[in-house]
Amino acid sequence: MDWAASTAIEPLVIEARALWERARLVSSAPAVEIYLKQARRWRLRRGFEPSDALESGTACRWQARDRHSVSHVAIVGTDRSHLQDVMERATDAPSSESGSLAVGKEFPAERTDLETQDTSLNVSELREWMARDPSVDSLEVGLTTEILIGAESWVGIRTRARSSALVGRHPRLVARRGLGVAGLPDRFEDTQENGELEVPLALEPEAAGPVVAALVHAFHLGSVTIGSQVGEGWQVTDDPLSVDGLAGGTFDDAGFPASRRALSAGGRILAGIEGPGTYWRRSFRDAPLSLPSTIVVGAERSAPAGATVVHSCRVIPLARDRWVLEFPGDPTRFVQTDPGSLVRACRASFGPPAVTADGAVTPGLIFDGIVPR
Amino acid sequence: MELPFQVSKSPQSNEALGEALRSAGPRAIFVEDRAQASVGASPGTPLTCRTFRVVGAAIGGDPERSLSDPYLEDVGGPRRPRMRLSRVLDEPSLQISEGRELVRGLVDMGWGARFVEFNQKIWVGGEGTVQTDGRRSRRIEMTAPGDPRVLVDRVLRANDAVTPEVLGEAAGRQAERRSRARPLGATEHGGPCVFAPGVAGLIAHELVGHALEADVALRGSRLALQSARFAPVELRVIDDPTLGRAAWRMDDEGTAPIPVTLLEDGRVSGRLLDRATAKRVRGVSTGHGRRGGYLDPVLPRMGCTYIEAGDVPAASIVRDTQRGIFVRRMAGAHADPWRGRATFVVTDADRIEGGELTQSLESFVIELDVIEALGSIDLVGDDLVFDTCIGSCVRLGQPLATSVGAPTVRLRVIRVVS
Repeated sequence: MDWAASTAIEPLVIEARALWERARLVSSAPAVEIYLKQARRWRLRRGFEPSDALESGTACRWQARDRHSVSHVAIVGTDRSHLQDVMERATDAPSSESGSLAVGKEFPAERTDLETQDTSLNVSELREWMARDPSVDSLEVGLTTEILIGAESWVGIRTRARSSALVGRHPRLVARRGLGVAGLPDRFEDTQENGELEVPLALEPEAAGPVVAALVHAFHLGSVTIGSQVGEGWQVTDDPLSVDGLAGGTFDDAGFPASRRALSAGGRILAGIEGPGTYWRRSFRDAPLSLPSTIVVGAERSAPAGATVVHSCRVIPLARDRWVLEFPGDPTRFVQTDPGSLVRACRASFGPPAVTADGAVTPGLIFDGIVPR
Repeated sequence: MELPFQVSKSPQSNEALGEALRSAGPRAIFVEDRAQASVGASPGTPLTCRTFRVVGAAIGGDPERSLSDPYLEDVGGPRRPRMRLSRVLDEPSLQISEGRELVRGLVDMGWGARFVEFNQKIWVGGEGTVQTDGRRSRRIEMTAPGDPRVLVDRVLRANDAVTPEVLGEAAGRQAERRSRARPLGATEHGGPCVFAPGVAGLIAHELVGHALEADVALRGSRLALQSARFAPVELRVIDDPTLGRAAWRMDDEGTAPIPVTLLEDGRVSGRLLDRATAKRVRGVSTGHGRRGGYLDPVLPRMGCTYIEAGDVPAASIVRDTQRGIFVRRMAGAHADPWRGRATFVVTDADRIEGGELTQSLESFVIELDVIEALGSIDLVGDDLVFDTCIGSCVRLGQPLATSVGAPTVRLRVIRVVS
């Protein structure tokens, strides 16, 4: 079954346009935006019948009369009366900066960003993959279609396919782009023997993913100090165009063109994540904010020689300048650090990059001077 | 302005859904209608109010189908006229205006504040019957300007006389303690540790409850495999979903919950069952089957997990502790039921010296081993309270509002890891 072919885009565009027309009438605002998202998910869970979910939601933003702020509401489903009802009752609606509403003549009337990866669904292949390893708890494949109708009635259309599984006796999420199991890991490390952990510490991609996500938030979002020193291994790009990325696209969730952005290289911070091209929604319920899309960490062809390799890590932020890294295993090890020391300790990378459930595409990372106890 | 499309306010009736479900046939159908709101502001920023309503259904079969805002006909109603459930059902009510007033009052006093509320109605149909239930919760949390860490959070109940002044005073006390806080010294690792009333409920939730959710227990959690006595005989841990915030009187499979004693006489004594796990053990569901929402599958989940009150006068517990730590608030936790361990983030604690609270401590992380920690409980107070430790529990990606309770409890062994 080819899901991309079976998920008709045209009726959704018509639906979104009708919602946009209604929102214009209700708000009388100079600029109105409709974001409609539909997700179809097929899930297989051990010991249960499969489930097939169709989720849809609509968000609407409109410019206030003073043109300085933008109001935002969202509904489950695509019912126009429901949207009107919610808009009419919206008081103290959350606002976002007016710059995140794409207004202007430079937006093409229509643009598409359709999934390039495989969108055919082979159910028997999924069942076989799950049967191979009893530690796989569940497997889910999904196709999302997003329709964006902007201020001048321009249309943006994006489709994405993703697959994920909960694996291992200590369940954890693995994910990839496309429908199917190709690219999902075929071995699940479950017991991490944490003997004496010595420096340097080598975090395999799955362990590096949460650390990368936390460091990007700490150093590349909000107030960013351009030029400050980081470790040589901290070579980071925000790449919405990554073909392997779980997030991103050729335009952001407000309609602005998105492009690659080098955030850090050569031991220095080069840029932050902000402004047009970086407005992404955490879900259809949320207004777009400056957020990372797919973080890609540069890979080298080195090996973690002499390093202690760990494949699981959790970041526990206690305060802005005080984090604890937890390395689950036997025994569980911990280290207290601060984000600045951690990013400067990132000396090198190793092995091929992998897509992590945290959204980053990262190789393994080697940290000096981090000694768990 | 007169709009060409007027929103129809009627007919709306939850009865129409009940009738539809009764005539839907043998398939199990779960319908939820959840309204949620958050109101937040801090000094110098405008007050924002977010409301959201989720209407959806999960329709049993092979495969089970989940639909957002389905038509009444999708769940067994008439084909004509076509009506979305969001237009048929009476929207669950929220008390946003009260939350707005509290937030405004707190902001005027110089605090950041966020009010969060949800009101969920569910219907479970199948075999010509319909079960319904409602769950709701309201809470408020306060922060200091420029610091995202929560100072104080509190569950709001219908008959609570909570004012911005009362809440602001509590936030002020905590901010003052935080300003004086010092790091825990490297030589102070270990117990004993006294947990303020309510707080040790989180320990019961993480170390006992998660290990005895039946799907986890059946896969061999460490606690489920522990047959020998390991805890003091006077320690009783119970899960009763009808207590605490967000209580339920019918689970998401239409089963009325029964209180389950998880730990008694120093041993494991029960498990939390949904219908699927009950079938596996040839038992009956204990009414703990819950979904994170209509898109999620049913899992056995905790409701309100609590440690029963003991007979030690609570006021004497700190007094009888010469040296240790007093934990007033924990803000997060993560359990590993397979290894029988959990980590907790302690965000409000004092040092105990000579039976008195002396020095506020900065946030730190503790790790507890279920056998060692519960086995080291030596004092259980007589002051059981619920919901002083608030949080959502996320399991297999499904968030759920849960509740915990406990009296003042002393553990002799903890491991401070940072």
